[in-house]
Amino acid sequence: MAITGSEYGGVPVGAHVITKTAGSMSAKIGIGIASIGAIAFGGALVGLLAGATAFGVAFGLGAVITICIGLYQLQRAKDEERLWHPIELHFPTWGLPLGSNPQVAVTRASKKPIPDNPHVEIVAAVRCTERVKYDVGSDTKTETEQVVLDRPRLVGAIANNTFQGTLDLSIPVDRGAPTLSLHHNEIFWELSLQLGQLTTIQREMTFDLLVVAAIDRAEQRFVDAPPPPNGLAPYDA
Amino acid sequence: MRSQDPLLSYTLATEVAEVGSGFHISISRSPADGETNDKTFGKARSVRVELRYETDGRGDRDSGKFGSYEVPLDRFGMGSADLFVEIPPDAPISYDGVLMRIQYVLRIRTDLQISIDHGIDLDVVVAPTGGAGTYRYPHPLTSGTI
Repeated sequence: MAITGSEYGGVPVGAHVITKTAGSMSAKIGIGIASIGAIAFGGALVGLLAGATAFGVAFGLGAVITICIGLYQLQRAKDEERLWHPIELHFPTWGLPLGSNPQVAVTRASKKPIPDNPHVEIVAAVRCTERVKYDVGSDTKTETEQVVLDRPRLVGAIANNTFQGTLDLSIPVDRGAPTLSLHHNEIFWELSLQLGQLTTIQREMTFDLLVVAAIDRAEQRFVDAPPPPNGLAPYDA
Repeated sequence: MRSQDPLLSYTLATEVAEVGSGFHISISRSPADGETNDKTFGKARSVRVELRYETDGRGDRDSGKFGSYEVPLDRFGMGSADLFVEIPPDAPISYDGVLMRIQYVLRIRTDLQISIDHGIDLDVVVAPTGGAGTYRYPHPLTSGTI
């Protein structure tokens, strides 16, 4: 992820581009699966040498299948990198103020010829999640609550082997809060895109958004909230 | 529970301030009219002011403070100052969410020698940049028409 401009502050600073390759995570998963298979295969060989033939054969077969799955995943990741350039999201400003409606330009180019398509619609979702951690004895529990789920439209076209589209993003002021990262309490924003025909391996890609503690004055459709209840009762009741 | 300093008076210009801005507060410690029995006489050394936040809710608490201002008092425990308590631009805002809440207070403590300090916590709201005229309570706002 390439970050330019101010990463966090009260005032949005500059334009911002996020680039991401779908294959990188898939490649890591593939390598992980293949490694597990290789270790299991080693275990099977030890079993065979120790005379446990039935165990060794069964375990060895399982290990070979696991290795194949890992290599298949790795191959698909390589295909992704061979066929597609990284996806690019061009934000007009970064971070994103509360109440803002930035238009995000989304681009993905293919390295191989693909047919033109004048209307491509990508399913998008914007989520804001509260995540809290608390200790119970020696365990640390985590709870999450999705406080924003919006589905903005991402419509574009494929021409000259490149998809170009515009995402109408909307950061609400009546739900969620600016990005926050404390030790036990976090608020994070994500944009996920189901790339469909714009990928070979992965249907959904997720991008971290940075929402800053600023309010877009152009957004005047909101009023101050009623006072919160006194005391701490609502959470602990 | 701490008792409030009977000789301390303060004026807070506004209870809502934006991140990157701050709170104006005037502090004054002087004998009140008719005060005849000041138990803190000769003990009060200074008045400290700091802005603190604390989370509350399902998760364990996180807290922090911004700035720490000390107003020195004379040997009679008297003094005054106008302070501007700054809020950093990356400070969390006051928030009333689903799993968590973030609350701010301006903490004023009178430092007393060999005694429990007197003090008071003033509830304040830290709003997003550009939201000082809109917010009176913690974020989020409510759908409606201004």
